[in-house]
Amino acid sequence: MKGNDAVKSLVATLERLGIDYMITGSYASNVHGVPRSTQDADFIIEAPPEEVSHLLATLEPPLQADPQMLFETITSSLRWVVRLDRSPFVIELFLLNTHPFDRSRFDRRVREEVLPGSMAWLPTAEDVIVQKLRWSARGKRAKDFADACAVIEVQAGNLDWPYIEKWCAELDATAALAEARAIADG
Amino acid sequence: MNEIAELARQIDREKIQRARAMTLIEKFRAGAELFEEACEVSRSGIRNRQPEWNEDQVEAELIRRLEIGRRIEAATSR
Repeated sequence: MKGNDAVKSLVATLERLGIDYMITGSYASNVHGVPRSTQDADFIIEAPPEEVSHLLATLEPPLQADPQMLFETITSSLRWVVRLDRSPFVIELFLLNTHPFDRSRFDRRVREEVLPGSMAWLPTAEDVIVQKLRWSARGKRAKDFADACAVIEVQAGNLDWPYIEKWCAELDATAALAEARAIADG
Repeated sequence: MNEIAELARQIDREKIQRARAMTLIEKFRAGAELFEEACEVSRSGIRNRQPEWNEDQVEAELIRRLEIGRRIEAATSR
């Protein structure tokens, strides 16, 4: 099983169990921007922890969940890691937290055919931009900033700028947004 | 703008055009496929340098290198 097969398998399991989710991170920025290599897939899920435990117990080899639940300090989220046997590819599950922006982007998620015959929930392009700039502004990875620039440029003319500007202002990412727009505008 | 910056900008513009021409499914699949291709190139390099190693040793070395990449990424984040 390869990385995309693992993602497809997890999506099928989430849908079967009726757990709300969306695929975020570089998978989402690849869809809306310029694809780049990624060694992990990030999911945000909305479910009680006991339901997550049931989900993890349901997974079958070669998917294997780390038994330990982690606390992600940057996002204040609970996190679980799912590994793919004999592969460095990993899937990370984050529990949806109570931050207003995280709630907003989850509520605005859209359903797309992401693999042949497989539908899944993704964030909008606007929410990918805001999230990437939020992380970039908080001292995370430079590639988050590059991803945001790429989404802005690829989606040129199709973005809800008032929404992006509102959330960047609230998340202290206005300067990062201005810089990203200047780069994307070339 | 100097020549290198102009070349970099031109390459970026071409990447944007290619991305716009891809379907959503192609873009969704690309990240993991590019990663797997990169891992396969690394495995080939490891096998060439250490022909006596078995596949478990090759995989362990690949994991070690990926971990180095993560550490460097974290250390060079702005």
